Amino acid sequence: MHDIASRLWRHPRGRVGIIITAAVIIIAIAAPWIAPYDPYDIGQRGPRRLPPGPGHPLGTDAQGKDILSKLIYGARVSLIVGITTGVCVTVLGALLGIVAGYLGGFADTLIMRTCDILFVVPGLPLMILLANYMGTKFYMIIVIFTMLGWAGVARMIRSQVLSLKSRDFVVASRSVGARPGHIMREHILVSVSPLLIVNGVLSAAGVMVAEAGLSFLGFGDPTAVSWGKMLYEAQSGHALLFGAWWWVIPPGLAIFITVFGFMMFGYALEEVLNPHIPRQSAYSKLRKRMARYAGIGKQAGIGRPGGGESIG
Amino acid sequence: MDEPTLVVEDLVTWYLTERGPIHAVDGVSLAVQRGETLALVGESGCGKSATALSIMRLIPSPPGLIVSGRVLLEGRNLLELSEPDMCKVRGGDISMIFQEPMTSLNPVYTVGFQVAEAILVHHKVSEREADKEAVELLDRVGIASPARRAKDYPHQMSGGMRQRVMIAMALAANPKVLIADEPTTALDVTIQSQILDLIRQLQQELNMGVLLITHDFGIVAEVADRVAVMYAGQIVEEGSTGALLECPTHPYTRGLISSVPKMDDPTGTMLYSIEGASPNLLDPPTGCRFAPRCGEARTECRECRPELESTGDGRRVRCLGGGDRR
Repeated sequence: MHDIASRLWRHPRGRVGIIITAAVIIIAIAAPWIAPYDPYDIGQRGPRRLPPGPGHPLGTDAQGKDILSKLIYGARVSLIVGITTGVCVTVLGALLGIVAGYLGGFADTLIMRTCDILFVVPGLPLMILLANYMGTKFYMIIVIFTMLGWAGVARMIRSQVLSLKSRDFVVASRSVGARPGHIMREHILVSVSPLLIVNGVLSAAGVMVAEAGLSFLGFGDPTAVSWGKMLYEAQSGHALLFGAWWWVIPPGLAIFITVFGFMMFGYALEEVLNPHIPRQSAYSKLRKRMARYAGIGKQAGIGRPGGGESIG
Repeated sequence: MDEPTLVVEDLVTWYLTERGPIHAVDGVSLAVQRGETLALVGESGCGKSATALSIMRLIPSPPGLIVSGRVLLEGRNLLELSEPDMCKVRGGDISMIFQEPMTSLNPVYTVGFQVAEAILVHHKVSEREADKEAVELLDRVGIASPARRAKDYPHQMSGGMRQRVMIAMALAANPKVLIADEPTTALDVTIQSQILDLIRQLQQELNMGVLLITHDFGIVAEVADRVAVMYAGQIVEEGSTGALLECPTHPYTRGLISSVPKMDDPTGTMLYSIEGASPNLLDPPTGCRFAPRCGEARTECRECRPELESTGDGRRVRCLGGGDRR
């Protein structure tokens, strides 16, 4: 464990990821102490549409709320939604993927056909529909994202399990009388866990973007202060008409930096946990990607699997 | 002799493929007594391993399918047991060791943990006791300083040591029968004889029946009490080791034994080999399965199926010309 942490720290992208992720988490936890105002308190409002200046470093919005405080409190929603969904998607996807892959038969058919259905469901319209019917509380968003997101994880894990279950050590374990539950827990789950951890982190990043998107479209929790909702308010308040860049750029940048931090953390974790992945410089990676788009490097395979991708 | 521990009767196993069923095991019958070693010999793909996996009910399914037959372990038909009951039998009454000790251990656990795991599956003991028993087992299979080595991961051990660990796992619950599927194929020769000695010694201590699968007649001569020769999914000849090796009856057995290189062959002689290749088990020959490759085949050999017939002295042979020993 200590070894992984120190290797992650020595990894350039890993260090960037750790610093950004840790900073965002600290800001989210310490929000009440570091934010100059409480955006949830109607009493603490200043003049409307104030540009950045003394007292309001990032200005105020159309209701006179302090932008910097909203930004700080917004980290809470993003992180809670992102991390909780990442964990839920990973747990559910791992459970169903392992059961489908190892037991096969009817369980496999049922789970995988459900996945197929979830894959062809247009994610965003369904989310909007569900958000409308099931309410827009932010824990509903977690439920919806989890329902739609586990399929990607389950399918990826299942394919791993199919190859794992015919490995000699699994057969050997069966030959001494180990039960299916035991093998799934002790041999299969342990073998796929690096994949799960990495995928969980990347899913969390994907979900944060998706949550911001949903809020931007006006389907977020109306009572919560979130970055997506700040963008929505900027849009509906004609920020660009007023030239109020401080309504748009801070939340946009916050989303970008947080997701970037999680991604860096996830990719670095993948390289640290899986020594088979060669370390690549950013340049060689970019060249490979460009070659792939040009159709030359088709054999290089498709992008990384991620629960977040399918719903984002 | 007393009742055999393991009796296999008319076992038929198919691999279902898109082009039809492959008759991997086609009516195999055999019996193993306590304390006895029966060697199952044959070339690659003749159904030796499929037989072993069918007995353990570990045949990958699909595509594998045990079609018919009985596997009696002390009178209990294993093929009729529920999967949870079968889990108790595997490792408990009947164990198996595999060809590849390099990959048969999970690389992420210590060997001590994996042996303890095998103990915990069958005995209700605390983890601490299981760990202690695991060390004792490792000691018993001849691993030096077992308490220390128990904390090693598989990659820290040599092939021979890993095979010893596999044997320790297999013997965790004192099984009545041990199936050894080419246990020494992946090991070098000096280690081979050590492992065979170990199996033989433990067999005597535990009074186990051993079903040894191999293609090496040297091993057969060294450890087996009886031999069954398999060809294309069927047993073609069976008998006590000495008798069978000295005067093989079936043309295939004779061919196999002649293929073994001998020390006193003059240099420069070609190695003997049987003409042709094993039949396609999707569509086996109608008559005797060996007829297309047999130098002594007659017309009836290609038309009638020979049965495995007893020729006295506990020997059985599946050949229409079975009597004419040369």
